[in-house]
Amino acid sequence: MKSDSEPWAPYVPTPEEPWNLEKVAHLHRRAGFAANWKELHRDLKAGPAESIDRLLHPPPAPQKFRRVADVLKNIIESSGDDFMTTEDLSPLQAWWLFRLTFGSDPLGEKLTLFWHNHFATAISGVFNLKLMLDQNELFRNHARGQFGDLLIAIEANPAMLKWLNGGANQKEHPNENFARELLELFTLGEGHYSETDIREAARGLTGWKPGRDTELHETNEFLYDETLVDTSPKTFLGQTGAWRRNDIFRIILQQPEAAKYLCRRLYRWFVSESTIPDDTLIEPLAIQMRASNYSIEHVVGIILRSQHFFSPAARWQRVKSPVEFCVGTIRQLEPKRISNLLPLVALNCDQQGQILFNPPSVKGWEGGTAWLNSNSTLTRLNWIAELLNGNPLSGLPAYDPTRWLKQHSIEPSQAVNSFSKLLLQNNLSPESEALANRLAGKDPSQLRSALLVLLQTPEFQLA
Amino acid sequence: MNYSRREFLGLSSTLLATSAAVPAFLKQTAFAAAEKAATSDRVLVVLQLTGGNDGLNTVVPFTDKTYRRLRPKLQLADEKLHRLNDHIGLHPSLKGFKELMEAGEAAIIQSVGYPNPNRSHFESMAIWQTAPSDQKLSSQKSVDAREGWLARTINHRATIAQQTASSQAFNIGVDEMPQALFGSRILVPSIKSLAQFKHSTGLFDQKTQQAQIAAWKSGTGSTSNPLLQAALQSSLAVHTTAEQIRKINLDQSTSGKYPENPLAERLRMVAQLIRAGFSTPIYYTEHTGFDTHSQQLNSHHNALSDLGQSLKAFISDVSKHVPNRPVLVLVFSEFGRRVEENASAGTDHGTAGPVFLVGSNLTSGVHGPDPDLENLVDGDPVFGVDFRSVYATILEDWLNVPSQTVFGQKFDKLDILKTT
Repeated sequence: MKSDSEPWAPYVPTPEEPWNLEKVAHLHRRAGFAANWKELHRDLKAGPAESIDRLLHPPPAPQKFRRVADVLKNIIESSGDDFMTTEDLSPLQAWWLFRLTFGSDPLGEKLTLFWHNHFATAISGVFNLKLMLDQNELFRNHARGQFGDLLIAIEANPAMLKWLNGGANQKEHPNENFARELLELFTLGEGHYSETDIREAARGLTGWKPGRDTELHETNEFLYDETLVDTSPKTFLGQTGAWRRNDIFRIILQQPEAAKYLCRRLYRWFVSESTIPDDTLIEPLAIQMRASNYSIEHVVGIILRSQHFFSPAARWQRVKSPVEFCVGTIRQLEPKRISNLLPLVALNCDQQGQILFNPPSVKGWEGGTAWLNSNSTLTRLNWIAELLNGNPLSGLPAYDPTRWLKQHSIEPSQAVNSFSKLLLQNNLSPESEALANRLAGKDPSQLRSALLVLLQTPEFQLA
Repeated sequence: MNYSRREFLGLSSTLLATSAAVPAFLKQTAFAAAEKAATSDRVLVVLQLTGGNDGLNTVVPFTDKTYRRLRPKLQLADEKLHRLNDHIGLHPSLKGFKELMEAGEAAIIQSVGYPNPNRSHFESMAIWQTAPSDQKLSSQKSVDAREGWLARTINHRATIAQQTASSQAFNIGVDEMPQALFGSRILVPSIKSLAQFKHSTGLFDQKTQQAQIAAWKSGTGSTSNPLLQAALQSSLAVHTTAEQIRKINLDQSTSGKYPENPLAERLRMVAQLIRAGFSTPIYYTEHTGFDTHSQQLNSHHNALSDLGQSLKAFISDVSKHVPNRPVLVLVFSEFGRRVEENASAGTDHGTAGPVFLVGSNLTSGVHGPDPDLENLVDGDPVFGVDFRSVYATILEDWLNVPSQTVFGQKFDKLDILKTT
């Protein structure tokens, strides 16, 4: 074993660390939103290389999926320039949740969520669904691409220009809001730039102005006007020149810290929230990041294929976010797809504290143990109960475990064991499994009680 | 959850009310302990103004020429201010707060901040919430991993057993746990709404729940995975708190007139919990909307108006209904804002600002030096009172905790809290 010296060397199954259900499920929880029974067994058979390749290079989405997604998207686009708040998010959230839950590119969606959290933008400062939708598509299109391209695109993105006052950043009166977050949260991290760098970056990023309609009201468009650019010399991160927006991004990405910062963020997202990785783990990734001109696909591929990713240092070392929890349980349990299932999921994610398209601040969601606060835990508890027992007023029918058993040709006597494999790969205390077995019986309601036990275990809250 | 979406989904609270019984074995724990505890204990409510409150347009230096010169659009007309003396006055929308001051129930501490100010929301908020020692503050390292000042206070005041028996703090109305409460030995519960706890549907009957908790503990008790420990803790906290809150009669506790805004709802919830007999000494909540980079006059007016009215309602509620539980409210923000307004009729991140204390046992009036606008450093006034001095005053004169053990060094106290 060379696990300590070369943590990012590819994982190869060994007798001590075989390719098993736990590792397949781990891969899908991290690179996507959990696997269903069929996917688990397909990839168990296929082995790690093929399974990871499928995630990195997914098959095209089926036509039927694309049609529904487009219909949902058209509803949002038809809302036009209307002023919108968090109360109006439901259709937009349902559209994304449809992609997250039923799409054929789970890794692409996982990365889209990563970028939504990284460049966290909220409807509460943008006030328009279409702008939020366009930004989300921007994240999706750039999800696996070069980080530099994404930076250039996001700085010119109308939702971001609105959110961090890019249109108000004028030569005479620089507005530092975007420049500050660019350095602190998007690229370098605290301690790797000065207040002067923020001011100089803000000057370099001038040039944007909001569009005006015939009555001179601001529209949702932004125009880049050469005459508004501050062309005087600036000293930014030690380099002096008449820097403009693309120079600012170029200089940032030349900083070794930029690659390290991004790798640390990817590590926390894909590998572990329980420890802060030291430089021996991050430096090799950062080298790859720079060598590949900041290719996200290249670095994420290294992470997913690695020994370290499949080791105990990574397994069960993240807390499920509300979206991962809710989408994951639906993907795993495969309940009947009723029409308001996804709006209900959206509502429950909101209540657990993860309002898609409305993160609490530009820092995104705290993540990790913050998802274990009592409010999230209690709401999660109630959501599980509603999903299993149904709710006539919301129109959600009770979950039928026997339907799932039949669908996968599983004997009723194997019910608890199979659900435990599906949900936890038997990674729970024997006492919890014994309790689930004691409550289980032939009746669907008894099986639902057993499922409630499994879904409420502390183990199931982890990813 | 907002009303229109609830309607849209056809949900109803009556259905949510068909909840499972809460286990009786928990009855001997938290709530019972709370009832027996000395109910005369003091309460601290920490209210965070998130985003960086514009202190200069809150406590306005209306005779200051620099203020007038650097704020052509944002300066407030002095005839509309609530004058506190011949040179400073409160924002016109702070009527409620002015009334509290006249009743001797509010104090202002001017120019509160710290050395080498950090203008990042997150870093400055982390500094306020963790209150590091001078040595750590100057190390320039990210403060992300530090324990909160209230968590350290809790750990000093209460043993693990006491922390398990009854909550030493509640985080009210907000999802995210503030860093100020991170690091206590037992997880501090967050309560977004009392109804949500009262009507939990996901709990088993008593016997099953007992078996369930025993199973969790046997499975996770010895784990080395810190996240699994945290998940266990959280589940236990939820089950215990649900049992406590189930006993509160919501209808009886909603008397008292509060304005309609999220802050008022949160403060009302705090009052309900105090009135219900919880021995919890610390409550944490926040009021948002202070990051006023553009067109700030209206939004700042509204945020301050909500603040003044909500505090007034809260103080009259608790002093009327629980006179034996003296309450002190600490109101702070992570920084003030730049003296010079920006081109968008807003203000950018600044440094020191005013802190407010509200309650019945304090020396009312204005404390601390007014901001010196003639001697700005990087466009911002220099702090005059260290925020850790404010905390030290509260710890020693209100919560009876030696502040040096919490902060690792001694800070001068202010003469504000009556120690009778």
